[in-house]
Amino acid sequence: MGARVVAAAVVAVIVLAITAAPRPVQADDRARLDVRIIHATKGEPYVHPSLQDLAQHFKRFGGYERFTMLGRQNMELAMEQTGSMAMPNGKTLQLIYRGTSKEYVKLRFVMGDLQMNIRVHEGGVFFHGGAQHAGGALIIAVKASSR
Amino acid sequence: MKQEQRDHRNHVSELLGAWLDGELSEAEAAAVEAEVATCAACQEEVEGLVALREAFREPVIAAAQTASFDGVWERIEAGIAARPGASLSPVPVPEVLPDAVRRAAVEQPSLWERLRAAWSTVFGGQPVMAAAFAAAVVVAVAVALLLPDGSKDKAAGERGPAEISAASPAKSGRPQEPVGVAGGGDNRAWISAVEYTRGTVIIDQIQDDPSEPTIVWHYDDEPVDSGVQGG
Repeated sequence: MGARVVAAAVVAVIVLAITAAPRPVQADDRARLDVRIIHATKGEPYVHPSLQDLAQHFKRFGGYERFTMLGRQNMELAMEQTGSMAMPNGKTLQLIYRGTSKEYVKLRFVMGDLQMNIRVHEGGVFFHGGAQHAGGALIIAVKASSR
Repeated sequence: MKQEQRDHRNHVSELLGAWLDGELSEAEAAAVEAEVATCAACQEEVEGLVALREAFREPVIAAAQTASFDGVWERIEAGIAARPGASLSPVPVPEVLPDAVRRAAVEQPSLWERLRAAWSTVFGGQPVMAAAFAAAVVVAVAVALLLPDGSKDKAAGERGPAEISAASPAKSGRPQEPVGVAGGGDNRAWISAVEYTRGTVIIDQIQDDPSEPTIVWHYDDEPVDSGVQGG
């Protein structure tokens, strides 16, 4: 009888292990960030060739017609790794990868005295604006992906 | 010999083979024994039958002792299959038979019957194993239903009450669900735990078009009283 009980327990454990083991969390252990520094100014309408994919959103930055790219950096960040990029205004942008949540990429955004958490849709882009620079405004575009 | 006696002898003669094989009833056997005891012709017939049986018996027994039946059925099947038009599949049921008979002839075992047979094959004679298997399946289903799916979004649980994702000033702090995809890239974003010491933060998001990205405006040229937004 003892052998049967042991055998039954083994069967139960095997079945449980096969069918009910928690599915592993999809470990998107690296994030790829495309960070572009944009200088928005007034004047003749212009969009830098490397910003064409973002041009449709520039109408949101009312009052500016010219958009040139001052810098670009592609970052591949491991979990909790920080990517840094020097800004034209002397500040430093820091982006920290915090993993994924469903179809969102989680980042910590730090620049100057501003810090925030942001979850951006996989492959999506978000902007930061407001800093004044050389007669215009500095705009940061961050495109994030974990796949 | 009288006709009546000839008829009786013929009848006994017909029974001799069965008598030797012990296939007669007691009454018939007694009658045959009485006849054979007094009838010389019957005795000769019996002796002839016994000699004939012995003549066949010995070679048959000897052949049976040395014969091998391995592969007999396989050879039969091969022979049937080799015949033109032959098939080992079930014989077609004539359409003239009643429907009930035809159904009974052509129906295969049901799925339940086959499952039951398989179950008996696997767990037959070991009810403890069968019970353990059934219990494990039940527990597995229950656990699978109750455990949180690791691949699912934890965002809802992590979302703080002060999270901001609206086309409104950051200080509103009212959480709002992102809207659905409306073509183009999906640029929905959630902003939370906004901290700053100077200026104003405005989170600009167009609610009815998720392809429009979130813009975080930070004007840091003016001091503020509160330095922490969100969670």
